[in-house]
Amino acid sequence: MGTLAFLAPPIISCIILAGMLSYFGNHILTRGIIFIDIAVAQIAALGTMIGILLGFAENSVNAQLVSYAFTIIILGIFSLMKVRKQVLPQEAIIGIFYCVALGMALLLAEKIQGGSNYITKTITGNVLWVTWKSVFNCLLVFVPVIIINLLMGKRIKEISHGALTGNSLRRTRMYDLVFYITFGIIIVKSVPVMGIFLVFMLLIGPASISRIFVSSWKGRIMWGWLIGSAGSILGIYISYSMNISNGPAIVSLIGIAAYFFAFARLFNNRAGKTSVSNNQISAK
Amino acid sequence: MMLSLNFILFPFLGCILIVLINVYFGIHVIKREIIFIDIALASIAALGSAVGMVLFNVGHEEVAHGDHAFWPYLFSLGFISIASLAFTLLRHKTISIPLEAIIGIAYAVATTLTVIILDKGAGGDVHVHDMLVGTILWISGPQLARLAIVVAITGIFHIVFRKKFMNLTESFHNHEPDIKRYKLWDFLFYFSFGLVVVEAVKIAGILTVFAFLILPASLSVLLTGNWTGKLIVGWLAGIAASFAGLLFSLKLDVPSAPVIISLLGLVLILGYILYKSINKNKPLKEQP
Amino acid sequence: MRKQIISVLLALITISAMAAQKNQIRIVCSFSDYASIASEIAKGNAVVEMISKGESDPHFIPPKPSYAMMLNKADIWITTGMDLEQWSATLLDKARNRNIMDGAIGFVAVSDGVEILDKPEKADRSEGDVHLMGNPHINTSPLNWKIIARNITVGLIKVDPQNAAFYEQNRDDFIDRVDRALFGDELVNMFGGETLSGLLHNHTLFTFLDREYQGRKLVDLLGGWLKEALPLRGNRVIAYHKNWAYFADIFGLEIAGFIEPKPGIPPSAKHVQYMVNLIKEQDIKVMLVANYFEKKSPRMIEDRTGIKAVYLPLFVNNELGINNNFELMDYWISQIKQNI
Repeated sequence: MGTLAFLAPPIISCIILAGMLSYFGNHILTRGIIFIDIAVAQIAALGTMIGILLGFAENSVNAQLVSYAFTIIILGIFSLMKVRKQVLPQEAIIGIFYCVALGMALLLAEKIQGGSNYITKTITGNVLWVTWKSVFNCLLVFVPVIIINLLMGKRIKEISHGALTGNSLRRTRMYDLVFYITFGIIIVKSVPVMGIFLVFMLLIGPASISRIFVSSWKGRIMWGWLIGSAGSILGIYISYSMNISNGPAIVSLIGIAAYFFAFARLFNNRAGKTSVSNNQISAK
Repeated sequence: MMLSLNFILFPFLGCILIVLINVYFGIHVIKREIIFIDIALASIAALGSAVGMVLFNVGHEEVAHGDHAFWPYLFSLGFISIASLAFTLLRHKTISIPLEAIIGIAYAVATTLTVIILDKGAGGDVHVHDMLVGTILWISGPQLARLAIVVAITGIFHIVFRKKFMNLTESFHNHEPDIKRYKLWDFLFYFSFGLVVVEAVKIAGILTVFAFLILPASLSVLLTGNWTGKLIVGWLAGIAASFAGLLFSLKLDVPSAPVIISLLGLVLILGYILYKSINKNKPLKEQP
Repeated sequence: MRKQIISVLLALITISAMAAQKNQIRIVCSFSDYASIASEIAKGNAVVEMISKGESDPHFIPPKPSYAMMLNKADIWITTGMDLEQWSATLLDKARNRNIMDGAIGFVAVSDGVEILDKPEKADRSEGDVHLMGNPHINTSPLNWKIIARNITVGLIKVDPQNAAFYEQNRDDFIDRVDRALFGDELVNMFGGETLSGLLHNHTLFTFLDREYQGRKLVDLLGGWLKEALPLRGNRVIAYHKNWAYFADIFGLEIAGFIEPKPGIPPSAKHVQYMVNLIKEQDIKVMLVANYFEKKSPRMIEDRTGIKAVYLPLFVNNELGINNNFELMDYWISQIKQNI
C-alpha cells in the first residue's frame, strides 16, 4: 500500500482534531483550566470501569453510556461550582477531581480484567490505525458539537473572558455546562484513539504558540489549527523516517516548538525589537 | 493490633514528612495556580533519570529498586534545574501563555521524550507504573531517613526565607513584582520543590504526593485566610487522613493511596459545606 | 476413668491438629500458573497463595498490605527468576523474610534450566528489548512446566526433606500427565516422555515421526495437544506482544511480527505500515492478544487490516473457569483453531 494512502486517514484525523482542539484550547487557556482534559479522560475511564462493574461488557454501548453519563454528571457538578469570587481556583478543583478519580480507578483496577488500562498514564493509543470508517464516525459526533458551539460561541467567549451572562450566575453556569459537555464529548471520543498525551498537546500546544504572536480571538484559533495540523504531519513524518513511536513524536515536536517560540519571543523582546502586541487590536 | 501499628509505623512517618512539606508548598501552588507542577516536575525528573540511565548504561533494576543510582539522580536534578529556569523566565509580560500551560507542555514533552529515549535505549514501560502508585507501604529505614533529610533541608530553607517566598507568591499574578531579584527566588522555589518531589515520588508515587499537595491545602484555603491557619489546618487534615488511611488500607487490604485520598476527599466535602454555610450569613454583596 | 480417656483423646487430637497445621508449608507464588503447579506437587502439605491473579497485567501489581504480610510468613517464594517480576524487589525488602531471599532455601526461580528464547544478541541496550535476559514468558510451553515442576520440587525438598519421596512422586506423576497430554498415550508408552520431549525441544520430533512402524507412520499415533494443534503448524500469526514465543516454538506457529514489542510504547509509523503490509501480503488471519491488554487498539487493527484478534488469558484464571495449566492449554489451542 502506498505510503501516502496509508498515512491519509491518520493525517486527516489529526487535522480534524487539531481544528476542534484549537477552538477548545483557546477557551481552556483563557479560563486557566489547563488540565481539564486529562481529568476528563480519567473520569471517563472511571465511568467505563463502573459500567463494567455494573455488569456490562467491556465495549458495549451500555458501558459507553455509563461512561458518558458519569462524565456529564461530574462536569455538571464542576460547572455548578463556579462562583463570582473564586477562593479556590477552578484548576485546583479540577486537580481534586482528577486525584480522586485516579484513586478510585486504582482501587477498582484490581477487580476488572485488564483494569490497569483505565489509569490515565497508561492510556496510549495510536492514531495510525484509524480507518476512514472511524474518521467518519468521529465526524458524526463532532458536527453537532461544532454546530452547538457556533450557535453559542459568542456567549461562551464572553464567559471565558470573565463576564457573567446577563449578570446571572445561573445562566452563566448553563452556558458553562454546555461548553464542558461538548468539550467532554470530544475528549472521550478522541482519547482512546489517539492517546491522552496527543490530545492534551493538540489542545494546549498550538493554542499556546499562536498566543505568542497573535492577539485576535479568531486569529488564534485559525493559527492554532494550522500549527496543530503542521505539527501532526511533521511528527508523523519523523515517526516514519526515524522509526520513532508515533504519538510521542508529535507531542514532543509541538511541545519543543512551543518552548522554542516562547523563548524566541522572550529574547526578541529583550533585544528591543518592536513587540508584535503593541500594534494589534487587543481582544485578549 | 500491635502488628498493624508496627507495620504502618514507617509508612506513617513517611506520610507525615510529605504532608509537612507538601501542605506548605500546596498553599503556594494554589495561590499561584500552578496546580500540576508536581506531576510535571516528577516527569521531568524521570526524563533526566532516563537520560542518565541510557548515557551511563545504568541497570534498570538499580533505579527501580528505590535507591538512587548516582548518574540518573544527578541528571534528574539537572533537568529539574533547567525546568525551574524555564518556568521562571517564561513568566513574563510578553508571554501571554498562563504558566500552568507552560508547565503542562513540559509535562507532556517530558513524558513522551522519556518514552522515546527508553524505546531507543533501555528498558520498557515498567518504570512509569512504579512512579504512579509508589510503594509507601514498603518504605524502608534508609529511605525514610533520606526523605527526612531532604524535607529538613528544604523545610529549614523555607522557614528562614518564608517571608520572601510568601511575598513572591502573593504578588505572583503581577508580572513584575516589586521584589528584589525575584527571578532568583522564583527559581529557588521551583528547584527546592523539585528536590522534594523527586524524593517523595520515589517512595510514595505521584498520586499520593499530588494528593498531599492539593487536598489538604484546598481545605485550608476554604476555611481560613491567614498563612499560619492554613498550614495548621492542612497539617492536621493530612496527618489524620494518613493515619486513618493507612490503618484502613491494612484492614481492607487495599493500596493506601486511594484510601487516604477518599478520606481527604470526604473532609473536603465537609469543609466545602462548612465554607458555604459560613458565607451564607454574609451580606449578599460578599457572597460567592 | 472415662473422663480421663476422653481428655487424653482430646489432648491428642488437639496436638495432632496443631502439628498438622504447623507442618503445612506456606508457599507464595508470583503467578497463578506456578501456584497451580505447586499445588499439584505439594498437595495437602502446603498452603499455596499467589500475588498476581490470572487476569492482571503481570507488570502492574497494586501494593496491597497483605502481599508483604504473606511474604513475611512464607516458607517458599516461587518466582520466574528473570526480570519479569520487577515489582517483587521492594516487596521482598519489606517482607523481611530471610528464608525467601535470593540464594536462601526458600527461594525458587522456576526458570532455572529452561532454555531461554529471544536472548538479545548484543550485551548493551541498543536492541532496546524490555527483558534483557530473554523472553520471560516461559509458562506458555508444557515442556517448561516440567522444568518448573522440577525446580519447585527441589525447593520443597530443601524446606521439607522428610516428605521428599512424596514430592518426587507427585512431580513424576505431574510430568507423566504433561507428557501424555502433550504427545498422547501411545507414543509415550512406546518411547517415554523424556525421549519425545528431547526430540520436540530440538525440533526433530516430526522428522522422527515420519518413520514407519508396523505399517503406519508414527505420526498417526500422535495424540494429545500436539495432535490437536497439527492444523496450526506452519501457520503465520501476529502476536500483539512477545508473550507467546515458547508456545509458538512447540506448536510450530510462526510469529511473523509484533504490534507492540515494548509494552506501553506505541509503534512508529514505519512499523505500523510494515505490519499492515505484512498482514496483507502474507494473508495472516490471526493476532494473538493476551487478555490483559486494552481492547481498543486490537480492534482498530482488526478494522484496518481484517485480521482477527484472539484474546487469550496468559495465565491460569479461576474466574474464567480455567483452573489449571492443562485447561489453559486446551483453551488456547481450541481458540486458535477456531479462528485460524
